[in-house]
Amino acid sequence: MRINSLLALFLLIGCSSPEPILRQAGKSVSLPTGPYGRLSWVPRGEEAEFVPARPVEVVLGNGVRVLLLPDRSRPVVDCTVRLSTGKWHDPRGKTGAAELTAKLLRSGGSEQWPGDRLDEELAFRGARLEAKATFFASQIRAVCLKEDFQDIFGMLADVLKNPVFPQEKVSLALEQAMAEVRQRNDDPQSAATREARRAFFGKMDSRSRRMELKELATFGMEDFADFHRENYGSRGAMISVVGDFDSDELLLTLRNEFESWPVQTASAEEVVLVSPRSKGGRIFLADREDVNQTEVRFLLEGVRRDHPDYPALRLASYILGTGGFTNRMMKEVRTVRGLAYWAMARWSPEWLQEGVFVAASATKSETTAEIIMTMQSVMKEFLESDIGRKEFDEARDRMLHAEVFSVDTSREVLTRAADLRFHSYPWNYYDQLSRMTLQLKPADVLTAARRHLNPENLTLFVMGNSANFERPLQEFGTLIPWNDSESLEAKGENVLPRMKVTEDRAAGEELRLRLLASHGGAVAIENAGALSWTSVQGKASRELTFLFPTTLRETSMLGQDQQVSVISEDGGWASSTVGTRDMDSEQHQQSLHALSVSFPAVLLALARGEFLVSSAADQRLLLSHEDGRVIRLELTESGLIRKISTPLGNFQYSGYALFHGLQLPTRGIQEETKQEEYWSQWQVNPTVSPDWFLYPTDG
Amino acid sequence: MMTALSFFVFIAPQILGFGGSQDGFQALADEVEVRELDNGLRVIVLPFGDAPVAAFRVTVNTGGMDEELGLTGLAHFAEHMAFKGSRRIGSKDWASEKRALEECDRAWKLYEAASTHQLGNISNNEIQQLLASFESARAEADRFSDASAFDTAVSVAGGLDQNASTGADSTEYHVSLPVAQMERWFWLTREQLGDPVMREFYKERDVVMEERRMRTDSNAFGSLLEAVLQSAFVAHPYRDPVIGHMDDLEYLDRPEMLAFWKRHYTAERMVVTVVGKVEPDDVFALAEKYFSDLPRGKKSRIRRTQEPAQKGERTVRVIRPTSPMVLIAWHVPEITKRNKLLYAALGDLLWGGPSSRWYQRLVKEERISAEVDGWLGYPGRVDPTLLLMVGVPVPGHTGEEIVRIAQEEIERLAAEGPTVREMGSLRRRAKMELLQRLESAQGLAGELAQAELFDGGWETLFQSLDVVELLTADDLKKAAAGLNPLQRVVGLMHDEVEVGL
Repeated sequence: MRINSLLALFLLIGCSSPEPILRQAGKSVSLPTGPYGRLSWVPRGEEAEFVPARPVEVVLGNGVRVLLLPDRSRPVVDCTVRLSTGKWHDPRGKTGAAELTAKLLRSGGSEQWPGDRLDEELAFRGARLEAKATFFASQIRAVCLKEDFQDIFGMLADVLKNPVFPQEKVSLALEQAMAEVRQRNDDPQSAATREARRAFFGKMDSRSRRMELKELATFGMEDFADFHRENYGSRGAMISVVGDFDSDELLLTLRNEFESWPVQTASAEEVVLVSPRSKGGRIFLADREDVNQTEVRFLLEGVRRDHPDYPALRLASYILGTGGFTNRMMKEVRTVRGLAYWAMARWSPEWLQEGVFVAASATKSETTAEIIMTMQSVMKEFLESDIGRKEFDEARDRMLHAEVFSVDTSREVLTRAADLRFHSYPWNYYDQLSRMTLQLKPADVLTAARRHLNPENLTLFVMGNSANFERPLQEFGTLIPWNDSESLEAKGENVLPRMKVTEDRAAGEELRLRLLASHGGAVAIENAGALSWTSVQGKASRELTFLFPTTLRETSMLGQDQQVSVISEDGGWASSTVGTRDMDSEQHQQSLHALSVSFPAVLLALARGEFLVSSAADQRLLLSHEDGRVIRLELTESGLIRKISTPLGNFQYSGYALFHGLQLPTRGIQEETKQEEYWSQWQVNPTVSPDWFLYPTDG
Repeated sequence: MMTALSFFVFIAPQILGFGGSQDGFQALADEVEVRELDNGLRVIVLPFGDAPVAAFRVTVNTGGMDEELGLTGLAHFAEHMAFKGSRRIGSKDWASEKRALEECDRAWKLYEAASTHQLGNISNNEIQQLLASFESARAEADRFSDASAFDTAVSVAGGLDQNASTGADSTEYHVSLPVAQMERWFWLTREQLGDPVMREFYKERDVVMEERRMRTDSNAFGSLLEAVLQSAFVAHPYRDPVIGHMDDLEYLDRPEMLAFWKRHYTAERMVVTVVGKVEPDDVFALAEKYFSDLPRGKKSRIRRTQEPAQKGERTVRVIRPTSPMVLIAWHVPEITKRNKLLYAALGDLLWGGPSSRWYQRLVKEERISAEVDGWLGYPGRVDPTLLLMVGVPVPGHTGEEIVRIAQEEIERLAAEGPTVREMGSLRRRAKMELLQRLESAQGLAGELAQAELFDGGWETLFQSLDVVELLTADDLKKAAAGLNPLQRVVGLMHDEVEVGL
């Protein structure tokens, strides 16, 4: 692989006669060609492997997790406490509660450490104490010289557990927040990034919430005290510490402060983990006169970090639009056409949510249409043509090298580990990612990219001075004006069913395992590739055979006539002695969907770990799938599925029996229609004849 | 062949303890080795860390201040062009490309002269024809160019975070690489420094113009900063933005840039710093092998117009439909090793954190500014420069109020001096700040180069805590007193509505 890239460089370097271009006091100087006249001849040293130190993980009695990474090279200690409460906990009408509560821990302080006293003491010691909130977490961080750590940590713990929210500091914080709101459109680059996401997710989505002046005016100190009381606590908390400390001493300190910290009382708020599936391009235009450069953003639904396609998509991102100057987007937009200073395209995954695919750039107003078309064609070209071996190898090597440098201080090592563990990802996540990446071939990358990127569905967001665009945006599609100042009362833009999220996904995972165990065992269910059963509804009786994941065959008696119908990924048909009728595409899609949320499909998919699982309360499971399915399960005390709820309706299961080692339903009722159904004669992995599923040849 | 990689980590070895009289920085200082080549190029090497990687950096003592009006933006633009390759890398056929590039330059010069009315009476038609000739000469030259070859070579070698930046005083190029690839870096850097061809010049001009639009024209703070800068200096080249005036960017050409490079990118003005798991002797050997032939040049900079003393306060307004902001600039002397820590301490007292003088008074007590921040040594430090402060007026209050109170606090500090407690905290604060700046290899590489070029020697980096010890309250009072209201520049940004004076 190296040989190939070196050969390629051979071709690039033209022959030249040494020619003086630099003169030194009248003498001409020529650069030596020497033995290394070509880059390819430059020797390379031995590459060495290096195994990094790994933080130690300890769990306190109340579940609080601790990550420690001692590092004696600098006499500094850096400690962060992170909690599972964030902006998604903001109550309705109080957007900003999480963010400002965090800020006020520091600026308002506690009774023992009022804000001003903290300011002064920290300045005296050259130490820092900072608190902030993100979407899913709130955190407070202290950085100080090692001799100050005991004292500074005491301050951290006190303001975290016992903040007082004094009126004076509350009104200052609100004023500062209002100033921030007023300024948020000053920088077009960040304004466009933010508003493009809001347009994509829809204004009603919890991810689109922003602080607003009117709402900020309604805040009082009780709001912050309430938020703190209800949300700050030990559930899902993590403390990570790097620096010059003694682990035993430190653990003792941490236990003293945090082992008896209670869990908070609030119930989880609803937040959507799935990104919207956009169909057909929408174009949003945010018009502004004070710029001579247009910001352009393309958005599409993305994937989570643990999606099986993520390794391939990450590499696809490197080839298409990340990592320096040699990706396709940057090359075409900047290097070839000189349209922009920067351009990118990538999958931007999140830990818990799906994230987005984004392509972005900025160009002068007069080349807006050109850059839109250029970016679209770069993406299409990427999807439609092959990836050359050289381009592939270079991108992969660059990307893997980047891994090495993304942790060049021990603080970064710890932060990476803390991010993983805070979101309940496994320790070996990055190793796995590297391993899977090394196994990828160009075709894998393209397959994944094609699966997840359909340029027809991209949402386009443009912020600029449309009076100076060289062509009207209407030429690209339906234009939707984007008015930033509209309030959140915009109607009906987000019809996704909402999902609850626990503070730790581990509870959901536990419930899933319990469910599988109750139904007969995870392994047994995973080994089931097919199920057959008899179903009786009223007078009608059918025999069904299901091949996981998307094939179903149904035979029934219509009077004397036997009818067979089959649906599969490719299509659906119904056949009898009279003839064969095809399902039209709409029916086909609907049937596939109904199948995918039926008991057999859901149970088998659960065993294969295909859903993102979380638990909202006892005995309730929420499942979401990358194909957009969102399913709620209610379980019985013993862990059997009592009810399946989906946008199609609710189905309750009132009887179970053991069939071939699996607990499968015998009775159920459709809530909406009150239709009862009975099942029997379940077979697991029945013998199935392939021609059962073949399209009948003689009509 | 790449084997399964675990993620690497960069931890300084245990042997570099931080004991010792200088708070441990002595141990670090002892590891530094320096070599000066015959042509004056300096190489500083600091072995650091356990992972087999290193930070490489070239810092050149040239920047915006070496430009003339009419040619602003050259230094920064040259930095862009440095990545387009040399004769040996980036060309598909040098002999043909050379001819095509020269033809392109000629065609541009003709078109430029015609369109700026320097060729007497020329019809529009003819001007358009000259433009068309230029465009086709450009297309012809592009045929032979592979401008991304240099970047590709660096990233194939495993280079990461390759970037560069240009300031008023200096320009730096840096990248991190596995140590096994070190010789490759030397080869590529020698090409970059010694033999830049500056292909695709005219296309890159468009990119630089976009950068200007992004940083300044379409950016509220950027435009205010430029306005203040242009008012603070009337003669010295610090006046002109490093990114260049848009009109100058339109007319820069390749021969001008090659001339700039030849004049300023000389060995005596370069410092190469390498920090990582390297053997100094290996680095020096490679430096000898690859950099010895770079031309020596002159260590000193060109003469530039001294800024005459400002005789009265200047005010500049920028009207934009964005939220209001105030930016104040005071003149301060050039920042040398003698006063650098003094001014850093002054800055810390004035705007460093929520207990600082400005924050305490403006944000917490008077509540007339939502935020406060400051900078020392903008745009540069080699010649007399500026100390800046920015504030955000809260509704119902004006930028002028902020100016008044900021100056009051300066005067209070000048009269009363810092408190005993503040003086006592200087060393600790300086230590924390230094530890932060020296956390990463690339950070160390940058700090060593700056100290070598502008503080009188790289060693001064590790002596800063001792210097801080010697600061007195009087020193700080004097420095504060030097922030003269008669010599400040006030920049006010607000929308049209407020201009009802």
